[in-house]
Amino acid sequence: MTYNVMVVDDAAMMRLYIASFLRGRKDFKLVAQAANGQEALEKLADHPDLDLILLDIEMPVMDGLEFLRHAKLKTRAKICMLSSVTVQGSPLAAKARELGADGVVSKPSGTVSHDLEERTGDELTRVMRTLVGA
Amino acid sequence: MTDEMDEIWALYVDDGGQALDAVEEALESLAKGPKDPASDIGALFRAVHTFKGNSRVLGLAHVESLAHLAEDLIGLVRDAGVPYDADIGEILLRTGDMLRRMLDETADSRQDVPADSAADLKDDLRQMITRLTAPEEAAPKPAKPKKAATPKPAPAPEPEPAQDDVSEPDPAPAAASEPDMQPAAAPEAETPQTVPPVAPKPLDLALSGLLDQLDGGDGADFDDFMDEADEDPAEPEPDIPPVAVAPEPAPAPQAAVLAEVTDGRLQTIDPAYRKIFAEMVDDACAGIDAACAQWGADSAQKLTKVATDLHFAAERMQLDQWCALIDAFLATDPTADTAAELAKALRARAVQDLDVAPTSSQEADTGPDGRAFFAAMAEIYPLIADQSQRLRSDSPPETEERQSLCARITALAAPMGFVRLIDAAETLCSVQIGHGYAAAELGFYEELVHIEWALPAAIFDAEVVAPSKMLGAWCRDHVFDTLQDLRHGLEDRSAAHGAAWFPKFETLMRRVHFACLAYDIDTASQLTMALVDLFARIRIDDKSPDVILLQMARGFVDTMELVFDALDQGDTPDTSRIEKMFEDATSVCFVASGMVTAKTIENRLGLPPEFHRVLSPESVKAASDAMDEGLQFYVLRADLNEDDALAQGFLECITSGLVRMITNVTVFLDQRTLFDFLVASSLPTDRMVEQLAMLDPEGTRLSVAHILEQRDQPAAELPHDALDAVQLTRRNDNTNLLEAVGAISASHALLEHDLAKLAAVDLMQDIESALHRAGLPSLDLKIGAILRDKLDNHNQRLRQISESGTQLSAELTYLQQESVAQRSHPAEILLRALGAFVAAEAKKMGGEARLTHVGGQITLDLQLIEELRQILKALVLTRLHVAHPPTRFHVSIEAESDHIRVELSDNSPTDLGIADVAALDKLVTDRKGQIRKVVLPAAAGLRFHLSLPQKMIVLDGMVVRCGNVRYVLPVDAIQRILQTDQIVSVSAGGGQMLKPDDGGLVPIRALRGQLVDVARGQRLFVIIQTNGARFAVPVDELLGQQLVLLRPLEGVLSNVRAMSGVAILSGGEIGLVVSVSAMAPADAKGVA
Repeated sequence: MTYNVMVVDDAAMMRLYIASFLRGRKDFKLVAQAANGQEALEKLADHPDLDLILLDIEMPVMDGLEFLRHAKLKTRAKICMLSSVTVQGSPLAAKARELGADGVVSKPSGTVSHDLEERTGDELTRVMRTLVGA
Repeated sequence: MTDEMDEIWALYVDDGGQALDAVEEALESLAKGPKDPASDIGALFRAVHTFKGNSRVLGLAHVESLAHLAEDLIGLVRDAGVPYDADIGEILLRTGDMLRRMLDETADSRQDVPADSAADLKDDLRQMITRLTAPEEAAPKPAKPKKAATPKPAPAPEPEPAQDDVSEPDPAPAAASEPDMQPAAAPEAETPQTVPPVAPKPLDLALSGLLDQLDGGDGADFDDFMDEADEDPAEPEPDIPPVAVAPEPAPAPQAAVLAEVTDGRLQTIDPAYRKIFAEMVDDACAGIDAACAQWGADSAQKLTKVATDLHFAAERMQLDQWCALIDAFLATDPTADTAAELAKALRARAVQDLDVAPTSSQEADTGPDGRAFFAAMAEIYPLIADQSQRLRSDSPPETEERQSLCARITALAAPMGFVRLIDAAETLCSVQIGHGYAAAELGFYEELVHIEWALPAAIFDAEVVAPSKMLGAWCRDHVFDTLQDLRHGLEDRSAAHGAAWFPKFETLMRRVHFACLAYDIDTASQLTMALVDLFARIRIDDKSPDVILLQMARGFVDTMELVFDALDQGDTPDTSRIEKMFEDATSVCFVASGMVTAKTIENRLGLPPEFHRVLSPESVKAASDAMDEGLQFYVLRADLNEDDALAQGFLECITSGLVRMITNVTVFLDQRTLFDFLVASSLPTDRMVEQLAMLDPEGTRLSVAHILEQRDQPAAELPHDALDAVQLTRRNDNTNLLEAVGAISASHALLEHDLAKLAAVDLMQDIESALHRAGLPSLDLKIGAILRDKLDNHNQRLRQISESGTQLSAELTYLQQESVAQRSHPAEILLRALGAFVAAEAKKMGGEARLTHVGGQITLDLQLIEELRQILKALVLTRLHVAHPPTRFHVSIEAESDHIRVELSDNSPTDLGIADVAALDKLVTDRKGQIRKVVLPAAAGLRFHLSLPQKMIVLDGMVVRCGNVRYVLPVDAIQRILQTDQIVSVSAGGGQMLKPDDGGLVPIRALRGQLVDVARGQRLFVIIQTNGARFAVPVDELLGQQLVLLRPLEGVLSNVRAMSGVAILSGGEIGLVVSVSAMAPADAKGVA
C-alpha cells in the first residue's frame, strides 16, 4: 500500500531533501508540496486522499501551528510536525502536542537539514509508519 | 530613561546629519546642471522633510519651522512648476548651513534654538515663497485638497513652530497659535499647541521613518497622509496654495487627531496609521508570546517597556480603551499569566478596532456557523453523559442507540467538514467501557476543543458554553483522582514496558493539562504536554522510559498535587518548581545523550535569539566538537529560496569539511524568507567572506551576519553524564606518536653517546701505541705531522657532528614535550563534570548534593584523567549510597613531580562498609596508587587522601645505578646527595636510619629491598623529600641528570612496587622511574 504525503515547508531545499527521503520509502508517495500554511490549506481540498502531512513550523504567511489548528478539523490525514524548533520536550513541541499534532519529529540540523535521511531517517520512517498504521 | 534619551538624541544627530548631507549633495548636483533635476529635487525634498520630522519629534519647534519653510519652497519647485534657479539654490544652501548649525547646537544643549534664530533667513524664505506663489493668486485654482477640507480663518506669515504638519502650507493665523486660544478652539482634539512637547521616544522616530517609507518617500507627511484620507477623492490634484491669502477658517482641530474613536471603536482611522499601529500591536504580542514562552528574570522589565511603548502610541491615537487595557497590565508586576492575558486581549481588540484578520482562535470564517454548531452540540452532551453512565451500569445502551447518537453528531459535524470529530464520535459510540472508553471520551471532547480553538472566542457565552470550559471543569474536579492514577502508573515500573502503558499515561496527562488550563496555570499546562512529548518519542523508539524521565514524571505528579491543593484551598501556589521542571524537560534529551545542553552552547557562543531552543542534540554535539577543536563560529545569512544553484553550492560549501554546519534557522525579513546558518570553520573571517564571494559574487544573497566569540562554560551547566564524557583518549591519544618520538630520542641518544666517545678518541696516540706494541719504529716526524693533522681534522668533524646531534637531541626533547602537552588537559574538565555528576546522582536519589573543587588548573595526562575519573566516580557513588549521604563534597588536586595528590572530603559522618573499603582499595592499588581515609573530628565527615602516579610526563630525572639496574629519581624531590657511613640500625622492625650531618635521622629505603651493608664503609645516598617526609636511598653510582619520558609500567613490570613508570635513557637502556611518594614512610596506608 502507498500512502499519500504532503510536505509543507518554506525552505525549497528542505522540500527537495524531504522529497528525496520519501523517494527512498516505497510505501510513501509525495503528492503535494506547499511553502506555507495558507498554501497548504488551499491544497487540502485538492487532495482529499492525503494520508500524511509533514509540517514545518516556522513559515511565512501562515505558520505550521496555525495550519495545524485549522487543518486538524478538516482532514483525516495524520499531521506530523517536522521542524527544527520541536526539540524534545520544548515549548513548541508541547504546543504542537496540545493542538493535536499526531507526531512530532525534530529536524536534526536546523531549518534546512541536509542530513535528514542520515540522522533522522529511521525515526521519521518509524513515526510516519506508526501514524498511518502501516 | 537616560539611556533612552541618549539613544534618541544620537539618532537625531545621525539622521539629521545624513539628511543635511543629502541636501548638500542634491544642491551641488542641481548647481552643476543635473541630468535628472526631478530626481534631485525629490531627494532634496525628502531630506528636508526628514529633518523637519525629526526636529518635530524632539519638540524643536524653531528648528522645525525653518525646515518647514525650506520644504515649502522646494515643494513649489517640485509640485507647482516653479523653475529651480540659482536664487533658490543659494537660499537653500544658506538654509542647509543654518540647519546644520542648529543641529549641532540642539544636539549639545538638547534644547530648541532661541525663537529668533535665523529670523533673517526665515524672512527671506517667506518672501521668496510669497514672490513665487503670488502670480498664482490671480488665477483661481483649486485649493490643495488636504487643506480645502478644513477652511482656515486667516493666513499666517509662517507656520508656527509647534504646528502640526497638517497646516504647513496654510499656516495658521497668528491668533490661533496663541496658547490660550487653542483649548477653546479645539477642546476635544489634540493639537500641536495643546499637547505638551511630545515625549520623545524611539517609537516616534521609528514611526517617523516608517511613515516616510509608507508615503513612498515623496515627502508627504504622516499627518498630511491622514488628511488626505479625509479628503473628498473627487477633488482635483491641488496646486500649492498661496501663503499670504485671505483669512481662512482656523485649522480644523481634528486635523491633528490620529484616529477618531466613538464608543471605544475607531470610526475614522487612516489605513496607513491603522496598519502601523496594527503592526506595533502584532510586534508587541509577538514579544509577549516570546517572553511567556521562556519567562526569565528580565521578562517583566522587557514587557513593561513593550507595554509602555504601545501605551504611548495608543495614547497618541486617543485609544482610551487600549490605554486602559495596558494600564491594567502595568498596574501590577507583570507575570507570564498576566502578559499572556494582555496579548490575548490586545489581539481581540486588534480584530475589533484595527480590522486585523483574526488569527487562530479568532478565525472568523466559520464564526456564525460555529455558534450554531456548538449550540446544537449542547443538546448532545447530556446524551453522551447518559451513555457513559449506562455503560457503567447493568443496563448499557444498545448498539443501535449508540449508533443513533453517532449519527446525530455526524449530522452536525459533516456540514462543517469536521471529519476528525466524526471519527472521534464513531469511536466514542463503538468502544466498550474501560480505559478505551475513557480515552475515547476525552478524545471526543478534545476534538471539540480543537474546533473551539479555531473559532472566534466571541461565539461562546453563557448560552453556548465553550467545550474547553466543560472539559476543563471536569478535569479540574477530578484532578486528584487523575494524579493518583498517574502516580500508580509511574510507580509500577514494569507497567512502563507494556504497549498499553503510554496511551493510559497520555490520557491522564491530557486530563491534567485541561485542569491546568481551567486554573489558568499555563506553565504547568505546557509542562504537561512537554512530558507527553518526551514519553511519546520514546514510545516511537520502542524504548522504555529511563529512570530520569520517570523520576521527572513522578516529581511532576508530586508538585502538581501541591499546586492543585493550594488552588483548591484558594491559595496562590508556588509555581517556581514547575518552571524549573519545564526547563529540565527541555534539556532532558541532552542530558540523556550525555552532552552539554543546548542552553550551554547558546550561552557559550552568545547565539542570537533566533537560535534559542533550536539546537538539536546532533547540533549540540557538532558545536561542542567544533569548540573543542577551537574552530571559529559564524552566522551566515543566506537567501536561498530563489536560486537553487546557489542554494546547492552554498550547502555543499557549508558541509564540505572546511566549513561545518551546526544548525540553521528561518529569518523573515521584508517579506522574504532568509536563513541564518550557524557554522564552524578554521577559516578566518576574510577567508570566509572570500568563500561566500566566490559563490555569490554580487554579495546580495550571502553574507556573514555574525562572528561569534566563545565564552567560558559555567560549571553548573554541565550535564550529569559529562563525567562519563570525559574520555579524551580517542581523539587525544597520541601514545604511538609519543612512543615513536621516545624511541627515536633514545636511539639518537645512543648514537650521540657513541659519537661522543669516538670523537674523544686520540687516534694518533692509538696508532703510535699500536706501532710500538708491534715492534715497529715510530712514525717519521714529517709523516706523523701530516697524519696528525688529518686525524685532528677528522676528530674535529666528529665533534661537529656530535654538537649537531646535541642540537637535534634538544629538538627531539621539545617534540617529546609537545607531544606530552597535547595529551594533557586541565583537571578542571574532570572536576566540573564530577560536580554535575554528584548533583544529578543525588537528585536521582531524591536528595541534593554539590561539589566544590580547587586545583582545576593542573594539567594531567589523559590516561591519568581517565584513572582519576574512575576512582572519583566510584568514591562519590559509594559515599552517596551510605545511609546518610553527604550533601557537600570538596576535592583538591595537587601535582608533585611524579605523582598527584587528591583529597576528597565530604560532610557525612557515616563510615564505609568493609566491602566498600576493599573495593576502593583494589581500584586504587590496581592503578599503582594509594588511598587513605581520615574520619574528620566532631563527626564532620570523611576525607580521602589519594595518590596516583603521573603518566606520560617529561620528567627531569637523576639517573642512578643500583647493581645492574638503572633508576630515575625525580630531581625536584632530591634534597641532597651525600656519601657517608653514618648508618644506624633500628631494632624495631629491623630497619636502618641514616644520620646525616645536619642532625636528625632519616629512614633508609633501599631500591632493591635489602639492607645496606654497613661493613662496606661509606656509601652514596640520595636524600629524598616528599609530602613533608624524608628518606635516604642508597645508590651505587650517579649517572647524571636527564629529561626522561615517564611511561606507564606494563606487562610484568606493572607489578614492580614503588615504581611509577619506565623511561628510555640516553644510553638506550631502560630505567625504572621511582615513585618517591610510594616509597615515603607513612603511618597508615590504605583506606582503612
